[in-house]
Amino acid sequence: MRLLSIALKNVLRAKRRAFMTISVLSLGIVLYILLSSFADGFVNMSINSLREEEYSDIRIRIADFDTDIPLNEDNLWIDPSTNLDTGNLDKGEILLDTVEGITYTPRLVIYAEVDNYVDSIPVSLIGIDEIKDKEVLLVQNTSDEPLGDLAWIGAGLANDLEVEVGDYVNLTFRTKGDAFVSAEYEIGGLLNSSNPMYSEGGVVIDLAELQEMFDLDYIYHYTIKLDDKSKLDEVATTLQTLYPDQEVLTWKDLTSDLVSAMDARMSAMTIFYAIIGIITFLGLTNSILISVWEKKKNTGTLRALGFMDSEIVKIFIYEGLWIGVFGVAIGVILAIIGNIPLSTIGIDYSTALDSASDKGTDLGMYIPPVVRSAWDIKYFLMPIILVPIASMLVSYIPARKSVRMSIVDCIRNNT
Amino acid sequence: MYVKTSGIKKIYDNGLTPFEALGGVSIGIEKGTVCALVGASGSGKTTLLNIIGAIDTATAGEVIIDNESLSDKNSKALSIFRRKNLGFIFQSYNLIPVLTAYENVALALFESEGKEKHDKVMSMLDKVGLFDKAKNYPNQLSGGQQQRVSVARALVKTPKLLLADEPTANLDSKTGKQILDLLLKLNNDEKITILFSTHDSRVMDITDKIYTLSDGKIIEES
Repeated sequence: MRLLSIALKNVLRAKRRAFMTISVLSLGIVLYILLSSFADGFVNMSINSLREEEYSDIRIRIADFDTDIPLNEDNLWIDPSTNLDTGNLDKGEILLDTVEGITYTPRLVIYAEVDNYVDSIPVSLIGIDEIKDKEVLLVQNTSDEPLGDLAWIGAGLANDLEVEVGDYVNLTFRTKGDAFVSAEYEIGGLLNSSNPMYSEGGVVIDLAELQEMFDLDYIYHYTIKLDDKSKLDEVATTLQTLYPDQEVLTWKDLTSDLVSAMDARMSAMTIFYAIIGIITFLGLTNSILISVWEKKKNTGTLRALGFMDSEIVKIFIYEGLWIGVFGVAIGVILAIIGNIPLSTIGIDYSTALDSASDKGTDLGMYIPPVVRSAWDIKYFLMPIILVPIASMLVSYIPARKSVRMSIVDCIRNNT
Repeated sequence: MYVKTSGIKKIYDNGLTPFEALGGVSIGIEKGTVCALVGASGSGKTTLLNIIGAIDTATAGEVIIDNESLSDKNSKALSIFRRKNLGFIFQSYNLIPVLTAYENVALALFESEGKEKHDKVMSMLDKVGLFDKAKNYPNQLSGGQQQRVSVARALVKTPKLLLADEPTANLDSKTGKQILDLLLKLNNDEKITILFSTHDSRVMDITDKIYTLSDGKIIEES
């Protein structure tokens, strides 16, 4: 106890050095916590947005779906709702209706070109059942008008084509018979989605109309929303039993690639953390080394009084511990204070990224326009546990130097 | 004989020219006496004091204190020996600057805890006349007061042997006399064996035995 007390007094005595070392340590901890929380918030917001607007909870699609070419027509699944004869009952929507606590919506997505009679842009043409779709997904458009025979197009896309609500665009796509179909649509609303799939390259029309033009009774997938989110795996299992020939994917499966990609990108931050850690702990080691040097005379005196070498070493290790404790306390408090605005207000990237839409961008992964950090106790607990331990460990080597010198040389020292 | 050194040699070898600080010194000190090592600067008196105090090692020879040979002990055993048997007073006081007078004195008490420790420390501070300065830090004390704290620290554990290296060198004559009177009183009261290293004639006046060193050798014993 008294060794801890001596160590504390040594730290408090060298105020300027302690302040510098603790500041660097605190800064490192603040950066670690805030960057990690921010990265988590980034991933969470991306996933939540994708769940709200694209994946919901569960998706059923063709079993051998080609993810490399998602809009390939081989990925189409016969629409059970239009094939409800007795031979197809086992694949019909009637089966979905037997599952309690779910809401579902079918979608058909194909490649198309949209043009304003001057310029043409490739898009995903999405056929939706407006009523069902609204019950499952949140696709925001600027108009309250029903979809009907109008088209909703991405806000960014409209910007690129220099069109607005009430203008007409032309949609061109290839049917199953390799014939080109072209249709003129009035723009009924702009998709102000945070998902670039909609805002930058999406055109939404009525599903039945698309099927008719495409001359197909197919859909692309069913997207399913659960009343009770905790039953995700249970419902997924039930659906897989009902649809043994199809692929039943939860939102976790659907976002796993995104999470992996983000994890891979975020792991680059490990290098940054390592650099912060090295700088911080080199500073701490240096601080303890200076302390050992400055306190040579005191060390010699204590040893002459009968303090054992191990006790002297402990004093300096405890100095490191105190610096670590102060550093982590200040760092965690500052990180909490810093994370409050970051988690509530967030950081608005839309201007910086110069997105055509102010609703996000993808840059190879989906980036929400305003990113808010998350709160995860592990990012706070980790430095609380590890920093004091690491501080003691890095103090050990300089601390050992304190007992390598002879007592007489230490006592003679006048620094 | 309470302290006995036999043929103590100390050679400093910096890799160029070996320097012999002590050339086979043998002395004996009776228990409860006050002795002094005197001599000019560089004569080897502090080196001998340090070797007897187990904070320096002899190149050759043996030190026996209370029938225990120091040369048989490792670093840990020497630390324990020092904490149990020896008290040190240094020329430049060597107080720990981050600790109060009370805490500096308490540093030397390894065995006591709680009230017993507190009473011992306050009693010793009272004896050296610093009862009301217990909470002062070294930089808030005069040189004489600091040396008295140093004396209190050395004596609080009632050592068997007190080693004092030029304890009055940095003090004015009045304060120096106060310190010597204090040490003499404690010697009388506690029967502590005291070995001074000094060239202060006032110290020599209170000693039972004086060893005069010159160039690392005893040239006179009186």
